[in-house]
Amino acid sequence: MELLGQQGQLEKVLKTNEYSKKYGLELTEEDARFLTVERKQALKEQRRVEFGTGILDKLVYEFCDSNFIDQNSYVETLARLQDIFYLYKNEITDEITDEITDDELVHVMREQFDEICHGDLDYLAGTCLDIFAQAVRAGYRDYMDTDGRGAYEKLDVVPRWDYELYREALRELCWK
Amino acid sequence: MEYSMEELVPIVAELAGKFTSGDSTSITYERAEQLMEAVIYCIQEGEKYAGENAGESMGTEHRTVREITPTEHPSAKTAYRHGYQCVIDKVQTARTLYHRILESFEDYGNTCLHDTFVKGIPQFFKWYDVKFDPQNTILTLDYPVLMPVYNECGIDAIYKFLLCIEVEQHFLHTIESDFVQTMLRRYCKQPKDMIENLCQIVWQDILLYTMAGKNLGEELTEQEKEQIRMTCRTLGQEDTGKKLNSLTDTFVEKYADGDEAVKIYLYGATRDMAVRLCCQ
Repeated sequence: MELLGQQGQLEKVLKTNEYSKKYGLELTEEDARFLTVERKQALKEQRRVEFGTGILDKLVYEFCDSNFIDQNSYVETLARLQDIFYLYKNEITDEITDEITDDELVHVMREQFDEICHGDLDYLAGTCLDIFAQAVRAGYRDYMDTDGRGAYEKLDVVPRWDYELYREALRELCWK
Repeated sequence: MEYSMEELVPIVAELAGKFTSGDSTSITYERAEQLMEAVIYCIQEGEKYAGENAGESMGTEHRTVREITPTEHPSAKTAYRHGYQCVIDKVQTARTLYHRILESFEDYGNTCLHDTFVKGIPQFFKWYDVKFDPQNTILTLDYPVLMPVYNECGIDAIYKFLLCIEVEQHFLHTIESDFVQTMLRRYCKQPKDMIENLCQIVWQDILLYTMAGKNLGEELTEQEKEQIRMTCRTLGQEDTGKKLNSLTDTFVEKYADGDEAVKIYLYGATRDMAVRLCCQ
């Protein structure tokens, strides 16, 4: 049964190549095998059971058009995204809906990965999703109306590089 | 009947899909365990139904399932579906039983019985989840009944508990309400707050007075109580038990239309009483 499941998953992951090729990203059979092993490990670490073919194909379709992923880092990025996904499936819970849905979480991850983290997976896992998870546990529900899109802006408390901040940093570096 | 993991996991997977409404590809270990328990509970429920021919003992008004004979070996999926329907039927039967008892229910001023039966049971019916958590009893069933229901779970425990309450109420209704309350007060100054079985207290009181040959309205002196204890010690635990059971039979024949269920239920109290009288 497990073998059948793995075979199905491999096929599904490899099928994503048809779409991701447009963006110059492709997985070999070996990559797909590596990712399924990683998936198994991630599920074990997060004490989760998966009956379907997994989240990988969804992650590929959602992330493959990102400017921050190239062929060299494609497999590692997917493996890491998969880890982060299962970690935050456990972390983002509330008493009403129990868990965030797969689509909502993938949308939240993608938006933050591009717009806030600029491809930095550590920042995504350690800061952005952590803030989001805390907000959901504290009662934040707006993300449900938008399927996880545009959900982070309201929660973002970290100062970003704007003109004033940039000028001040430059002044400090050059004139002081 | 035993089913392998290969047969059970697809049912759990289907259930998990329904649980997450297809919104999640994965669930936590804890949730998977809960769903696996739900599947096993339903299968066992179906087996009980087939094995004990529960349709007859539960009443036929809510039977909607095709019976599976004990000799059949259905697939795990068929067994689960059959068992699931059995659980639904049992909930319906329990609900009907609850409303039947409620019509003439009396708590005799005891908070524990009142809260468990009047407040607790409706909450069980409100929150009981046949599909995803049928093994969850939800309630702690604080009122102690004389039959072992605490080794059961889910609707099985509740149904057994209700059967016990039905028998208790039948027995207690054979005695005047004021009189029951007098006996309870005789046992404890604050019967309102005690967490004990009312039926046991009342029945043991009746037995004690019968053995002393006194009227229930009178007071039993310490000397008379000691006299009874001495007689019982001389008789031994087994014979005392037999004597108490024989008194129970006579009482039930005379006042409770010979109801076999009441008789068996009261034996639970006499067993206890025989031990207490012989060992004190």
